[in-house]
Amino acid sequence: MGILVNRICKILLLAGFLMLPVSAHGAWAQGDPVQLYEQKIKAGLVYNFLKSTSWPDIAQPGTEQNIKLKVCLFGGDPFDGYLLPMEGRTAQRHTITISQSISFNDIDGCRVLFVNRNEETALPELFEHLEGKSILTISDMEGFSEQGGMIELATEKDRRVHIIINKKALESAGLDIQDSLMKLAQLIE
Amino acid sequence: MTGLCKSFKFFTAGVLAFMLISSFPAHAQTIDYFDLPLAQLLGAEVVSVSKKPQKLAQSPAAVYVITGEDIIRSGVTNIPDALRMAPGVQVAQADSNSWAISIRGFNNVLAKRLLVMIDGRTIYNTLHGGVYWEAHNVAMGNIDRIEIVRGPGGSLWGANAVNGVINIIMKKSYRNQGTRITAGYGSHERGLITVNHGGSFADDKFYNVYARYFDRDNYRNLSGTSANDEWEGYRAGWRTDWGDYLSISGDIYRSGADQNFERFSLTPPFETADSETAVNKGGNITGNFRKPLENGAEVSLRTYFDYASRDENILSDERYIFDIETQYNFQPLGRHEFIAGAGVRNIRDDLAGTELTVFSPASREDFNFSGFLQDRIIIVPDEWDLTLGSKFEHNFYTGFEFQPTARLQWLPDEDQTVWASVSRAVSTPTRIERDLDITNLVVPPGLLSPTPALVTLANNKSFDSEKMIAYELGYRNRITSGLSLDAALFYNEYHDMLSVEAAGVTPVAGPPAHVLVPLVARNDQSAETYGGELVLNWNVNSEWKLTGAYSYLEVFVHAPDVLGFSQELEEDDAPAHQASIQSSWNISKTLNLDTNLYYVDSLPRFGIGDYVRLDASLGWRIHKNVRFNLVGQNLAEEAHREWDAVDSVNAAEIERSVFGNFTWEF
Repeated sequence: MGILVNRICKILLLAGFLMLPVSAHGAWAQGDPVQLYEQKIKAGLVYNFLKSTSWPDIAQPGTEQNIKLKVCLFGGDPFDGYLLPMEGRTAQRHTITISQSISFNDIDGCRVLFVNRNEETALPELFEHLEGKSILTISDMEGFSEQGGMIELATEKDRRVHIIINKKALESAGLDIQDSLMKLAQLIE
Repeated sequence: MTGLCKSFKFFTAGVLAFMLISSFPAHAQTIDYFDLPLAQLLGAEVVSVSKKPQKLAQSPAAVYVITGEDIIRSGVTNIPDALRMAPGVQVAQADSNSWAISIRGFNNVLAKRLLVMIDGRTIYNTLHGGVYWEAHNVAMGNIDRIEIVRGPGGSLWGANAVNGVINIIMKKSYRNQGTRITAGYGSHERGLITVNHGGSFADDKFYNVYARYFDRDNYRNLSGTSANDEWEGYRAGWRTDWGDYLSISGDIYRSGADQNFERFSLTPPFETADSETAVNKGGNITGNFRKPLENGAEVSLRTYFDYASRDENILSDERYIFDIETQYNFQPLGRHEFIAGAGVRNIRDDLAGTELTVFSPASREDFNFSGFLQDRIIIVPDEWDLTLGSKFEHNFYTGFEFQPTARLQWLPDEDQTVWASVSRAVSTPTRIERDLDITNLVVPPGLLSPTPALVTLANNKSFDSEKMIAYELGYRNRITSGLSLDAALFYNEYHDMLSVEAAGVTPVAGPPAHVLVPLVARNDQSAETYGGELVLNWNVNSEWKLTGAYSYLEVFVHAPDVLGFSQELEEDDAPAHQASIQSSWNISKTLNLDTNLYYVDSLPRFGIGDYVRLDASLGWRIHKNVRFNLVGQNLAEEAHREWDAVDSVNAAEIERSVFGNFTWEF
């Protein structure tokens, strides 16, 4: 009996040693490319868009101090709360505010509108409301840019988030995005 | 009245449960990702792909969605006409106020084996499992979308979701703001008005209220006189949304639908036709709550109370349903997406029989308990996934029932999806099969015997659930960005289906001399069906969209003969071939033309030949806030029949009709 227990203990110990390098290997593998929760990557990207977009009525970045950059989440928060810490930060010296907007009527004051991917059926009516307004539209909805949205965040098979930009939609809203960002995006007309 | 109080108590309990769940703690997070440079964000590996709330249209099932825009553009004034737009759904209009609607066969007016819901509240009548479509004439402009699942959905939705699921989803009040008045008039629509107003109390608290009245003219019967099928009713309701998380809505309605019926006697003339107005009345209140939790998990709760009554010659029925169910979605391990749920439903009714019908007992109260568990296993991310799940139910009639499903999905590339599934679904007994006695239906002399026959139906307290096993295969392909294809094949096996059997014929000396034919409901029918549906969507250009659909259905029924008559009639109650071409065209910024062309194969059971139906709607935006729709229905023919035998007292010709509809928004 004692021998058996001893053997089991030995096997467990051996297994423990074997597992050590395995998990260490796992830890090292994490080192090279940053690994992040998908929502955090997207939240970070939204912050980058705020820093590199120019709106027609804010001619000189930072000259008008009172302007707030209002980011609206259309149709609920798709970031599981990870975008909320962006509130109070600044982009181009303007303070960022975040608000949830679910009705078409309260999107007027928004600078950026992040459209929840569940809102596909609302798109035609939404774009109708956005006509003639300089609001940057972003979504992780599949086909968003093809349907007339400005920036689409697509998680591809390589497990990376890709940016697709609809140039025509940007231009007709009078918005401009810095070249450094445009270069990293896939452009569609 | 005590019933109402009891239900109200249940409802209050449900609301309290809402509040309890709302106090769940919010989540905490770290903030370093905002400082990462762009290149590093784009190079970052997604460590755990967040739970994509799987879109219905991408799920491994045969699914079609009719959008609110489709409904507005087509100008349809009721749900059955909207459902014609869904491929594979069999819609046959019996008369001005009644329809036979089914999916994948076994169609009938009040067809069972179909789960129909408005915002998750079931609207099929639990007395018999069928839907009184005339009672649910909702405000069409308030519909967000109608989701249609062909094939069983029992593992998620439970009993009656055998042949399919139709879920009518109303607009959230925050998408329904401002005032909208719609008024229409035409050759068949004698007046239709809907007023809707939406507003908000606070930043994230919205509401809308609406009222609707409609009046539809009679069609003609086969002899050219009025079919006595006028339809008139009203409906009013409201909805409140607290952000995206909580909604409470309710409606009241009344509908009066004219119909013909027969009185029977053992002496000449044996059958006398009479007419009446069948009145449906009801009210309901529904609460939906959802709360996102940490790491994409979500808990949701739905509760409703529904009162519905129907009064007509054959029976009068009052029923109270209280239902509460909760659902929890979570990802305990990276490759699993779990959904678990539990619910309880309380149904109480009061039935009054008539000269023809007796219910024993006349009143009863039942509790149904249900639970379900589903696991979507991501075998290879974005390539292979397997969904396993089952609903478990306990009902008063047959006890424990289970409805499992297994669905495998393969995405060979970004544009293609292949899926296959095996599911089991049940249709539990209803009061009609269990508790109904039909006492004195008379068949005139010469048909069953030289003397008149008195046909009775005795209740069967051991009537069992009907079972079905479905095998499905599907394929979707987005061939180009503008052209997509959706195909599904199915093979269904039905067991223990309702059969009506005769216990023999007994001569009765009289007077008057007649034969007695006692019938009983049993579970001795079985059937196999197979077929498929093909849908092609083609966005010709940004202003013109075409949808082509074809569906095929073959039904084989095995049932014992009754007194020498074949009972395999259900083989012929749905068309073998259906095809449609729908065109949606924006002629200019202010003009649009939507045309729907349908081909429906013959229904030999009723001697109805195949027909072509053309519906068209011309929309004109006269002003920013004013739209006019000119709608023509059934334009291809003067009139045709879609349902009901020639000798039925309610057989009506569905006529060509034209109407105009103004919508004013401000």
